[in-house]
Amino acid sequence: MLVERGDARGAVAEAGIAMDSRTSDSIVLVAAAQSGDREAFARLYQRYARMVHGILLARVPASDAEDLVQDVFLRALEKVGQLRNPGAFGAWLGTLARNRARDFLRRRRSAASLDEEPAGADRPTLEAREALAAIRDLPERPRELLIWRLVEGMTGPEIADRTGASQGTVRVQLHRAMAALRKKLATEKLS
Amino acid sequence: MSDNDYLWDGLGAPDPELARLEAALSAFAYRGEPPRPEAVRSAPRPARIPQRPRPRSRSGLRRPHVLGMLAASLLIGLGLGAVVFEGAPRRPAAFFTVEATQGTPRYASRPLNGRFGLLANAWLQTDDAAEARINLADYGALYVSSNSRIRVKRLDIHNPIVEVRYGRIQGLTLKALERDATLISLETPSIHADDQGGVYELTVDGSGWTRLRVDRGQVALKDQTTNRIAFVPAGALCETLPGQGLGVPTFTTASIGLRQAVRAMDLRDLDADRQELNFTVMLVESEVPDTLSLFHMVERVDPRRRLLIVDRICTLVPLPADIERRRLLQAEPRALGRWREHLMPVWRARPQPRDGALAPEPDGGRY
Repeated sequence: MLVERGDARGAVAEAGIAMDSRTSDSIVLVAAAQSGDREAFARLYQRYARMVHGILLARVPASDAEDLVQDVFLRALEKVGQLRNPGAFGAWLGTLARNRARDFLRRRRSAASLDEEPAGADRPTLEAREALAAIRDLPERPRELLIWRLVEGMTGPEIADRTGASQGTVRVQLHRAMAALRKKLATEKLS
Repeated sequence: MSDNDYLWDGLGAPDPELARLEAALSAFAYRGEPPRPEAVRSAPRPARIPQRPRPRSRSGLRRPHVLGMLAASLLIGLGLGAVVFEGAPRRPAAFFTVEATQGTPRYASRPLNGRFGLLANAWLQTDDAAEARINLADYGALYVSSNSRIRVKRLDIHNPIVEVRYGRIQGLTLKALERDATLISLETPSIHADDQGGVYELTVDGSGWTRLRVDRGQVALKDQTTNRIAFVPAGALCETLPGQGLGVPTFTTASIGLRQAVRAMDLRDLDADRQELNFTVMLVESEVPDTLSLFHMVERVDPRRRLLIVDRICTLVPLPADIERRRLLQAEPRALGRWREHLMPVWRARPQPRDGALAPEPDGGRY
């Protein structure tokens, strides 16, 4: 069922959701997707796929992360109707992705390994593998932030928009994460 | 943190270490292609292909009288259904549905208004002003352009068979989880195609001439008469004339000389001199991605030309140690299969436009 954009905006307004310029588009898309609009869901897929992939890549082998992105969106499609606050879509989707990664690792009963490479034409260099390994050794939040920024190519404002965090917080966290990574890489170089 | 903060927004002077890390780590970036909303007005679910249903537990069906009651109910239901619908398109409860996206197409000889469940063998006909969409469960859709005639011959959720008598369809199916699994079988008057997940366009004219262009994913073409198979990866196209056998796939980025030579080689009624000239052009113009076209010629040519083709491919992509050249020269199916697997990654690494590659010809590239 296709839902007119105007209808979706109306639904959002009725729900009393604040529409600031940063998130209003996503909220409209989520509301439309909740009404069964597949086009809106496809747009959400485009908008959030890198974020979801980043969360998965922070936890599972690179060769599995891409397939799991589809799994996460399938679950999201099934459950998006239950999401009460469309403004929290990014955070909710992130939770789905983290849970999916946990399920995956539990079933595999083995930790993520960097021995597996992405299937694409670009083979990661030794430096890339070492850098990813170093990022994966960091705590959860800096790990995700650095993968979004350095691997997925998302900018700080994009990260803030997708995750629903404030720009100020993300900016500070991103710089701290980068400092931690530099320190780790330098230590590894010395050792 | 200055305003000129490359880490934050990627603007300003890049930090050299950061830029190097970004470049290296981009090899791990997400490369999946989500459905394009502009191409897919109503995108299919980003889902796995449907799994075959698991065998049901027999616990509730063990007693014969339960089975008998179920069978009777089914028969009554089918009978009532036949009386109520009398062959009219059904409202969707089905895995496959059809709907008009523009104008009023005709389906099962009636105007198509709204969305209906598909009927096996019912023709969908679009005119100048009509377009339609066939929704394939939760794994894809076929967009039927104007002036097309198409039907679904087999309504099997795991492998529907779609016949395109003439016209144009654009397919969008999600990548199958099993490698090289067939999602949809497509039939035209000249070919049989196995959609293995991707985005493609299939055009068929009244004479049966068929052109397949794949934008993403892969489609395998099969000649029912000779059992030959052609793999058409993303970025390639393949044209086939009825009665001429399967065409040879070429990348759209190949040089115009090579594309014309391959087409000419496909035409069996070309005289020997012109065949030889085109063969030479094909060899000379070929670059690494064109091993796709050369490989598909190996089985079709005489031993002298086969030797030249095999050597040209080996020059472009070295032969692995486990494949013997002499077996290739004898066109042994097993050796060719192994060689194809070796070459497939080259074909799947979508080639970039090359010098000498021209835009599609004004006539749409038709023979």
